[in-house]
Amino acid sequence: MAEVRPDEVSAILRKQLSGFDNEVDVYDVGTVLQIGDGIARVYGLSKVMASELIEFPHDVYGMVLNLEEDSVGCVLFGDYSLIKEGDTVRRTKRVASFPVGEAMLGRVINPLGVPVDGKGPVHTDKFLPLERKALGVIARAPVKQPLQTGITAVDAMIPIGRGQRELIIGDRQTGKTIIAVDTIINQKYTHTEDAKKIGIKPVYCIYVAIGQKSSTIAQVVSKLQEHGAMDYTTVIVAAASEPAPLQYIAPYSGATLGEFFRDSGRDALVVYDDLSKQAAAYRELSLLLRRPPGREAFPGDVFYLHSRLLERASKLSDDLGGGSLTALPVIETQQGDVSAYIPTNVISITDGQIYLEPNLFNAGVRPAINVGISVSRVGGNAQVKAMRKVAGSLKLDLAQYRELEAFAKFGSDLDKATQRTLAKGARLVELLKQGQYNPIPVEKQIVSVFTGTNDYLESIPVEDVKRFEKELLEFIELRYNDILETIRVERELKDNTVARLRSAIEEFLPKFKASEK
Amino acid sequence: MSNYNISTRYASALMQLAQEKDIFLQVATDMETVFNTVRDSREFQLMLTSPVIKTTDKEQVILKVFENRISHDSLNFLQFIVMKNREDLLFNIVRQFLALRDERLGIVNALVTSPTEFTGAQMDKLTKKLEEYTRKKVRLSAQVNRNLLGGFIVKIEDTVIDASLDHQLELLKEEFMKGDSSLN
Repeated sequence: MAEVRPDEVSAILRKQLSGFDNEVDVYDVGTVLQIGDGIARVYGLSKVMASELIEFPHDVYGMVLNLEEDSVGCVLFGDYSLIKEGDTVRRTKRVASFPVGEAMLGRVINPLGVPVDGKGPVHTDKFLPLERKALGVIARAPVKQPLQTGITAVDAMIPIGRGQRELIIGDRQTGKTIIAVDTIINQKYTHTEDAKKIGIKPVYCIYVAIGQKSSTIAQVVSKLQEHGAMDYTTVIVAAASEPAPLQYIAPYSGATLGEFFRDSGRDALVVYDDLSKQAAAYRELSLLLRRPPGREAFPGDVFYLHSRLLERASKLSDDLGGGSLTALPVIETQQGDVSAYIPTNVISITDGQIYLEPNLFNAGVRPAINVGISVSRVGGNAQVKAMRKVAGSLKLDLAQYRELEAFAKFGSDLDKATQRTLAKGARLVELLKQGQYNPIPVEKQIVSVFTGTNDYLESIPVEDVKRFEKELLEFIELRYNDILETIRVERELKDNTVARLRSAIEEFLPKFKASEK
Repeated sequence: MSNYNISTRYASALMQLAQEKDIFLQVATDMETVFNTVRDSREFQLMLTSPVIKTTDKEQVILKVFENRISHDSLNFLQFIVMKNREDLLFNIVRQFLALRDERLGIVNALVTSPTEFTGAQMDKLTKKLEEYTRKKVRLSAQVNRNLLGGFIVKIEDTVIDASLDHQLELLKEEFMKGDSSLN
């Protein structure tokens, strides 16, 4: 070990001291009247602002939520058992804010901006307030660039554009988080030189985990790391064990960080996983603050809670740099009840929803997307042209299949047309099945969907469809990689590309051997 | 309705009445007498809040204590409070009235805490400085706290002006803790 010279130490001390002003400190204080359940009532603090950060003893911070005639109601972000009645509370004179900057990427942060991954302090030089008013009409532009999720079913039928808000809704254990995580992993491509060349801007991702088990969060983080997705991702964590106030502000922290990227002309994606837990946390602290309960005991402003959050997702006009913030809120339903309070609220706020069903999930259709009621209200304009061309009939085919499927169960006497529709539907469903953490690039998705909608799968047994798709893609990649390249660069299917694709598939068809039964 | 709201209602009613009748200063001194009496006597406080003692008895006690000490109007007000069954809030009401009085006269209360007692001249000087700072009349009271080591702390309403050595050391400690200079 190197020897430490005393004069070196004093030099450092002197350096630190030089930044220290010996001045009279003026601050505003109040006294804790009542404390408990993460809520404090404070007397004094007469000039405090709403949503201002206030400092309690033992480095516990709180946020002012209620300004009343004789007292101030606030929520605590730390251990409230350390605070006692009569303790002095100090104003910080800044509204609750979140540190933003590139240094946040690759880190796991709590909603106050404190890193929790043990990798040391985050060096950022900028704070932005947690609650910011969403942009107005003038600042926005229509959603027109695609955000590829890497999930064929989504990119083909429920396309998501940059700046959109697409809800992922479904019961527990239906793969909601998987869709979000796959989407984040799929953004890896946008950070490559290859993407830059064809004009695809990188997407920075923020995953906000609210009220989840710490083990689940750790799993998500390790999966992101494994797939090299943490380089462009920030994970904001308010685990189930954190106090309700932290869970309540977590999505706003995520939105604030996302806005930082958006406002500097970049594209960002933020996943709120999940907002039902956040609503429950907000309900908890609203009830403790004695705000009157409404439906399902949620406070009256629970709609505003989510609408002001999701309104912050936006696509900026070119004058403002053309950045975007895409939001993927997640809502967990109970027994498929989408007409509960929070699900209906969030459905009405977002630009569409991806609805996941346990029945499908258990039947092995994964991702378990119910295509019938999943929609994307603005993503259509953002979809890659080639995809729009090949996927046009996909949704209709599947809808017809679902309708006939129920009938087919009753009798066996079906006419030719019905049988064809059923056969095609079954193959399309098979084609859209996709494993976890396995995002597919858009050009391959296009080829897959092309074979499905153009009846090339007719002769393939249903159980072989996945294998056929895999081998076909390998074949094309090996022999006719230029087709994929063309689709990727041109992003549309010109007639000669279609012709070449057809001949490639036709060349492969006889080579494919159906597995023996 | 909270106790605070009720107290404020009664206090501002008394304030308005006193102004109307032009006996504001008289009432103010009376209320100060009441405030000091109630504050210093625990028995009196217990008596006021006790649910066992009858209202009529309470009224008699109040009359006995304050008769001849305060003006007729002030005594009437106390009786009125008892009549309205708000005698348990009497202390709060009087305190609220005194706060309203201070606000009207432009007086702020300040408390100076120091490790050693201030001399009269020092107090005067500090009062003058604080009056310049707040642009209001300052009523300064003092207390001693040895833990401050040096300097002093002034608390004016909710604002603290902290010039104590103890606080300086605390800040210095924070400065050292957050400094990330290393030996390399």
